[in-house]
Formats: sequence, structure tokens, C-alpha cells
Amino acid sequence: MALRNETTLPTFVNLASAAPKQVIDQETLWDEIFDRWYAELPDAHELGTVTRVSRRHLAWNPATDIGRETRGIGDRMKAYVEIVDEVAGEAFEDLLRPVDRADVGSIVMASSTGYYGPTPDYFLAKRFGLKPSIRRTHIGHMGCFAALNVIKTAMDSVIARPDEYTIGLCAEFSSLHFRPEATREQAIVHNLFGDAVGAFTMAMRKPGHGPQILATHTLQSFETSDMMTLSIMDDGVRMTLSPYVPFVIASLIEQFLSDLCSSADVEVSEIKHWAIHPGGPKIVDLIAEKMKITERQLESTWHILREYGNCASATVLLVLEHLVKSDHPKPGEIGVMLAFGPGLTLEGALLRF
Amino acid sequence: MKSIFEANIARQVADLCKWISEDSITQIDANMSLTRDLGFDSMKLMQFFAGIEELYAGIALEEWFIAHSSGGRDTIGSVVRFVAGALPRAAAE
Repeated sequence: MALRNETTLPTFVNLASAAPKQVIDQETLWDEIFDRWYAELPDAHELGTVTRVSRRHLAWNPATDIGRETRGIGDRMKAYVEIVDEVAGEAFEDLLRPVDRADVGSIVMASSTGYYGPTPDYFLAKRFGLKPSIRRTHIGHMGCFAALNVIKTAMDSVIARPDEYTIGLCAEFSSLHFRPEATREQAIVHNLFGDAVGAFTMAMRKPGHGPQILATHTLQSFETSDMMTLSIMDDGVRMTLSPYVPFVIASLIEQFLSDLCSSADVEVSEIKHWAIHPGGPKIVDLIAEKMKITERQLESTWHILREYGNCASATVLLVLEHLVKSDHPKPGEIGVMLAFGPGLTLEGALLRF
Repeated sequence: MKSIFEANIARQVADLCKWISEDSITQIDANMSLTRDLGFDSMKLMQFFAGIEELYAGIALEEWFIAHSSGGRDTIGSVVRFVAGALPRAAAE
């Protein structure tokens, strides 16, 4: 979808985020539990640093909420019901403050870490006094790129009903799925993923009201379907992550960006601001090398990885929020959001600030 | 029967794997998977790709890992066959 020639475009008029209050640094996690979970793995302790995560906001402390024995999926989902209402509610409240609630026409929400119905967006709409006719869409289990599914659904919504606001939310609580499985792959996953909610309000606006979306693009690599997977086990959602993931993404990224930009008549070289989903440090390193992105341009991406970890679908929204606050993009400058996940799937949105 | 050409590549790839694993693996078999059997993580895979490019100018493993990285098909033998097939093409270019 390319919209560059339009003056009024789907626009992020507000961005917000929230995370569980409990913050735990990597050292503490290793001292209190991971040293025991991964005792049989050689050089396990170094996994605490290779992810380049310093600390994470976690709904569950694996030392006290999981311990040496695992817990069933029922306990984990019960915890999700409580935490999603608390943390998503915080972001939701921030978004609603400047708008007339009667003008909010739709909510789109994604999560790959919790299940119950009515879905959390129902309870948020009820709690914050949104109209009973509000359209709700819940996107489940798509993984780390689902922010773009939320964005694209929100775009359809505001294009179809340009007088309304659409609220988009990505709520992920991966800590509820930590499991004491002593493999190197699972140790990396548990040293990388954190919890957060990323959210936005979208509306049709002329330039000057927030980042406008010029185009979006999707690529599914059908040859690599088992490189990154999410499976529901009796004791949580188990994620797999092949070490080839960064290389496959890096091999596809140039053409992907070229296709994204050409659909909006933009040159890739015009991109000044990069909001990249830090799925892992190697993904960011290889994309940066391939696209000649400077460390300065990656500050927001690294900041979110360091301070929050990989928060699945919420991450790229956290990166964009930080980038807008810290980079102060000038009006008219071009930026990009990139996210990746199971498939492998590459998702991108081209922005004009 | 494997040609001398392919046997040479197999020996060089095996040596590269031993070097990357800091000689913790002594026996390299053509059916061994780089990730499942040799335990290569993304850092070691990076060393492996760089090593192949250094050994065989003009050979990049992008096509190989797109096709072979899933399901434990990333065997030493598949790398050897890919390199053996790609070298004449690279030389012709």
C-alpha cells in the first residue's frame, strides 16, 4: 500500500508505552535462577551478555514465580489476565487523555503471550468508557512483527472512517512463558525477551501532526518456516529461534527496503530515521552493515534492547516512541519501521515525519 | 564416487569447522549439521561464512542457507556440494 501523493494520511497522532513495575537486571537473574536452570550448559553465563540486554521489566520473576519447577499454562494465563489489564490500561489512559472518547471508533490489539475471551481490548473499552459500538479486532500469535499487522488494520480503519480515531496496542508478557528447559536456544530466549505494551492513536491528518505512513510492505520467506516458531506447551509458549535468522533477514533486507520505498517513490538513501525491531543484536548488526546505518541512527533501537529486551510485537512501537522523543525528526524527513518474526516474515512501514 | 575436487573442498570445510570449534570437535562427518551437531551459534556461523568466502573467492552462502538452514539440513556435505557446484560458475564469471 503506497499513499505518498495524498496529503492527508494515516498518522500516529500519539504514541505511548508502559511496562510492568518489576525491573530485574541480567546479573540478578543469573545469580537467583539462571545459574541453576542452565548449570549443565557450557559457558552458559556468557549468554547473559551476548544478548546486549541490561535489564528487563518482567511480570513474573522467574526466581520466585517459576523457580526450579515449571508451571502450567493455566497459571500463566491467569497471570496474563491481571497484568495485561494493568499495564495496557496505563498506556491506554495516556492515549485517551487528549482525545474525545466518543471519537474513538476502533481498537486493534495484538498479543502472542496471552489468551482469554472476551479479549483484553473489550475490557479496556469498558473500563475507559468507550462507546459500546466500538469496532474491536484482536490479532493473536503472529509474533514479533504483529505491530505492523496492528498498524495496517488501523490504517484501513482510519482510511475507511476518516473522522474517527483508531487505537492500536501491542501487549506482550513473555516472562509468563519462561520455562526451565536447559538448552542453549531456550537460554538465549530467556535472556532476550522482556515485557511491555506499545500503543498508538492513529487518525487521518495532514503533515505536522505526527509520523505519517507513506507505505507498508510485507515479505514472507516461505523456505524458512521453521526458523522461528511459537508453540503452546502444557507449561507455556515455547519459542524457537534459529541462529540463521539474522543471516536470512540480512540477505533479504536490501530488496525488501527497495520494494517498500519504490512503492512510495522514495529512495532508500532518503531514510534518515531507523526504528528496527531488535529481535537480537546480530539482526541489528547485520542490517546496519548491509544498509550502512550509523550507530547514531541506531541509538533508539539499542536503547530499547538494552533497557527492555525484545518485547515481541511491542518493541518496534517502543523504539519509534523513543526515536520521536530523542531524535527530534524534522518535518518531511523519512523514517522506517522494520519488524521480523515467524515465517520468516519481514514487515515494514515507511514514515514521513 | 566423490571427485578429488569435491574431496579437497570437504577437507578444507572440515578443517574450517574444527578451527571454529577450537578443536573441541575432532571428528567431522559429512552428515553433521552445523547447528544441531556442531552447535554453531550465530557468531560461529558468521565465522564459517567468512571462512568460506576467504577460501573460495566469489562464493557466498546466502542461497545455501535459505535452502538448507531448516530441519537440520545444514550439513557439512550440503555445504561441500554447494561450493563444488558454485565454484565453476564463479570462475566463469
